[in-house]
Amino acid sequence: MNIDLFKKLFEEDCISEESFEKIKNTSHQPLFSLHWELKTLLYLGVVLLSTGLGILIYKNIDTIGHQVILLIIAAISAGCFFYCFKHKKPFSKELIKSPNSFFDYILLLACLSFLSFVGYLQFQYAVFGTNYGMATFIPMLVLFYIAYEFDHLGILAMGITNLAIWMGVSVTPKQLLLNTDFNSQTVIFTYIFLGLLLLLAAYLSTHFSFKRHFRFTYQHFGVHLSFISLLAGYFFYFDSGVSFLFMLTLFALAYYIYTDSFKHNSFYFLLLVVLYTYIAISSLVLRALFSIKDDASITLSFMYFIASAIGIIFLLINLNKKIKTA
Amino acid sequence: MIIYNNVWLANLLIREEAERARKADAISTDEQKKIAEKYPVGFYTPNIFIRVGLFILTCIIVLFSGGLITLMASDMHIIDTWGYYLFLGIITYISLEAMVKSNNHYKSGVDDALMWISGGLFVAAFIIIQFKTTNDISYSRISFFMFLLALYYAMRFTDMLMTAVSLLALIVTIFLVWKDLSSWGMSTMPFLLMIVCSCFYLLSKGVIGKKNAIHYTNCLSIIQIISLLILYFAGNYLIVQSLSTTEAYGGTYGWGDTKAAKVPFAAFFWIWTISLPFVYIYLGLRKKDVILLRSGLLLVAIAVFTFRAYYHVMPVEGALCIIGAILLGLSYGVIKYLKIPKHGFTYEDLNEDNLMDKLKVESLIISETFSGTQAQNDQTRFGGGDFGGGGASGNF
Repeated sequence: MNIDLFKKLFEEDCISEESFEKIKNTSHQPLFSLHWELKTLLYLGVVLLSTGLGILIYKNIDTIGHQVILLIIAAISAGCFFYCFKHKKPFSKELIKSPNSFFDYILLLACLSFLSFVGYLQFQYAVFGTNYGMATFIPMLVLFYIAYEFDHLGILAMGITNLAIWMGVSVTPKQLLLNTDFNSQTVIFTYIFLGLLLLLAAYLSTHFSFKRHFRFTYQHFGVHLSFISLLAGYFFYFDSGVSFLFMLTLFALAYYIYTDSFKHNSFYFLLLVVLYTYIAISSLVLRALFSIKDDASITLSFMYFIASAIGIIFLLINLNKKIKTA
Repeated sequence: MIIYNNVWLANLLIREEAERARKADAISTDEQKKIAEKYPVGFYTPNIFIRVGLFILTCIIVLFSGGLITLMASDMHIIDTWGYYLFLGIITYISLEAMVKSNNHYKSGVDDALMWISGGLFVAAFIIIQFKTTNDISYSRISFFMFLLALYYAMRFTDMLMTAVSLLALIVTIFLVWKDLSSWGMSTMPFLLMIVCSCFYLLSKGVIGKKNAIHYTNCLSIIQIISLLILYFAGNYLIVQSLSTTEAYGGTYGWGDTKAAKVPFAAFFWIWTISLPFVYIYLGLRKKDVILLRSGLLLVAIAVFTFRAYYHVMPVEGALCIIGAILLGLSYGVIKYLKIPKHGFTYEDLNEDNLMDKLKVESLIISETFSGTQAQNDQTRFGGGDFGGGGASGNF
């Protein structure tokens, strides 16, 4: 730290003598943190080791046989889980700090190898038969359980992704197999449902103060999924009147997220709401402009974009101020 | 030269220093507020999310304004002339200056967008002039123009990315000019670039922290990073060999265009390739220089890739397993070793809040001066913090 600067601040009576002493003490013995370097190396180590083992197993599949491979993967996963359960802190509804940084990576390795274990089992022996719902449902349950038990945000995100896969799989495959075309109508409704479900989970996390800090992850996935799928629904039904229903839902949702982001002082969600709503309004305006069927509509739409973007900039700046003072 | 209000910039530095002191728990929040009141900063600098949003929206505005002007001017047949791009660039640049001067935007997203768009338009205009006036396009002229332009932006707006662009453009210019200068241009290229890059590095190292350059600290750090990396790549065996044997560059080493072609002073380049990253790491640790240390760590990986491109000692999976295990073991060992900070190194994240509580820095200094048993006692006191966890990692 810059001693001269703080000396000046001290003389100007900005900081107390005690603080000045503290600053003098720390700058005698400046510590150099290797935190990020070591963390990166740890992460690289986990990734390289698991990839290397994966390739090694894959290449030697003829000589060692499936059972042995499964056994190895299971052993790695079980060993890591054993370590984690042995060292974990007792469960709590609040944030639990992991015992040490090694722990997080071991847990990650355990989950990754567990997923490949289930995948391998299904691929080779078709344990779940053609019931693909079950094959994704069980890992999902396990992931959510681990995320809550060990308080791991990364694994929560993996669980949410798995949930999406499970819902996608359990809704579409019948149609996929029967009609051999992708029925986007069902997919859109599934994802709207999933997005709203995640938003609900985010709301419940704070409402019951049950793992409050998980709210951000749920909300993040929920906001993106529901806005994108609502917009997709609007364009899918573009020609029929139902499309405006999607728009109405979108604006209602936007209002909810807007008030919510003020409640939690979140710039990120505020920005997302503004941008997604801007896209929605712009598509409505463009639709109106082009329905005039006039040469002027192109010029008008250009002008609309210039004016509206300037307006949004001022809106963002003002909202930013408002959220700061809130 | 800097467009921003100098007093505010200086106050910003003081505030940053105060923020760091507050994070290290040396001063209280009240004191920080007092400092902030005493040293006002009038810049408009929103957080990163708003910055991204403003950047996108400014791009939309400029895009559609340009489109509208083009639409109106489409009958006049001036759209494909260089003057038109220059005209658009000048308009964008004027609005950039106006935004910064009148509305005090400072790294707000609006100025970033206007800066890059105007710069792009100027470069486009210059390239069109090149195409219109001469038949042989000189790339060195274009890159030199880019260097000058980016240097101007970097000096005026203290922008880090612009600094990077200008340095890279300068190095490309040197490369292109030297290549065509004489027949031995290519064969002396690695040495020339090494000299140039070390000069840049030493220069920025000398200037950084000086009073005149205080507002350019970030830019100078960028120069250090890039010159260190280019210094390494200038002597990297794979790059030297492929550049010297590619036909496009004349194959000036004289023989063959196969990959197996030998490079003169091969031993020198190999030593350079393998040992320089470790030199960086060693110097970084000794001087406690983050830039040197991190570029060294990055370059170790590149050195391994270079080596593997020529010598297949073992299959990929074996190498991955061994390296992964070594990395895990090494970092685990170092983390354990640094449980109590030693030699001024710590594993703790120094940017966290309430660090002092966790580290109890005074007891650290004591534990370093006393002998082993004393330090042992300290270890239990440490246990109160994040690490202890009932000696979780200790009994592992």
